[in-house]
Amino acid sequence: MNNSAQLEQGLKYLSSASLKQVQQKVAEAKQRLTQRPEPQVQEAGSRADSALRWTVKSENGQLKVEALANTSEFDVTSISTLEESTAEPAALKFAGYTIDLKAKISQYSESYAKNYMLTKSHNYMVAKFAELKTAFFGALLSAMGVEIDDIEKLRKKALKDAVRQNKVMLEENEYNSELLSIIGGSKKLMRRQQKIIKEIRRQLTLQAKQLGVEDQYTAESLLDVRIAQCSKILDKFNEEKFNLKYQLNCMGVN
Amino acid sequence: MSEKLMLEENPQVSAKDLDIKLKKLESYIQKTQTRIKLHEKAIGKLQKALKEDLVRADEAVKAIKKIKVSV
Repeated sequence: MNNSAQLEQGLKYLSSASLKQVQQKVAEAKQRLTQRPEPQVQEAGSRADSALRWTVKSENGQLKVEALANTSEFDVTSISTLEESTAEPAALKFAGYTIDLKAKISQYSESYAKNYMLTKSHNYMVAKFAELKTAFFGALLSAMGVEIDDIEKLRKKALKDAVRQNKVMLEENEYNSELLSIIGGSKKLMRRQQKIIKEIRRQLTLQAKQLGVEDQYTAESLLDVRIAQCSKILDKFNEEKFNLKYQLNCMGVN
Repeated sequence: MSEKLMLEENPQVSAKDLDIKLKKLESYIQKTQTRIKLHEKAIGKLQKALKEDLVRADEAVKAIKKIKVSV
């Protein structure tokens, strides 16, 4: 049956059927679509450190080898991933007990540095809340007798770490972007992944601006990063090729 | 590694599969090399545009100096 005949039949049905009947037909069609057999996908000899994830798909009784990008883009976030200590500081004297806060100086220093890093976040709310916490931990450290110079040093170190982390995350994001562009996949999936990567890139650039290093993220330097990541991918591909050739040789000998 | 051992470790692997994998990998390697060339070309274009901008800025400075002298 051709399309125009199908359309005519559909229109006839719509003019004669009640709303309830039409709804029932639509529900049946949806069910038919969802009950389509999904192709079975299995892992096929992938190494953990490889840029590729090999899979074997069975479609219409035939096995098909396919490659997927071994990315970690969903692990990447532009929010600091350092461990956070959330222990609430206890008072010096509580219910007759004296608590030694000085023993917790290192813990509070870490919290101070971590929150100072977060004050440069792209997320306005996260940044403001971190500012509040930084002020609180700063006051606490001062009350414990930590010198202002030491607090300043902590701040500088946190800033340096934040810049380094931002750079690493940008490189990782570009690596994923390049790998996905090379390996590809379904258009819909690619569009979705590229959207995420674009958003992470935007957040990281914004964070770099907050950190005062936006000059390092020029179009030229971004292209340099991409070339470096492409070279990294190429090395991984060559390594994989070498491994596959080795396996093939082994099979040929036997 | 003998074939038997390899198949025990990974039952999916066969010589035909490895051949397909190698072919795909070759195409990916080519694509990567193309992308590197593409990025290098883009950098070249950017640098050329920057140089042109610099020349134009120099000319503008010279023109301003000339105006100052004539005033």
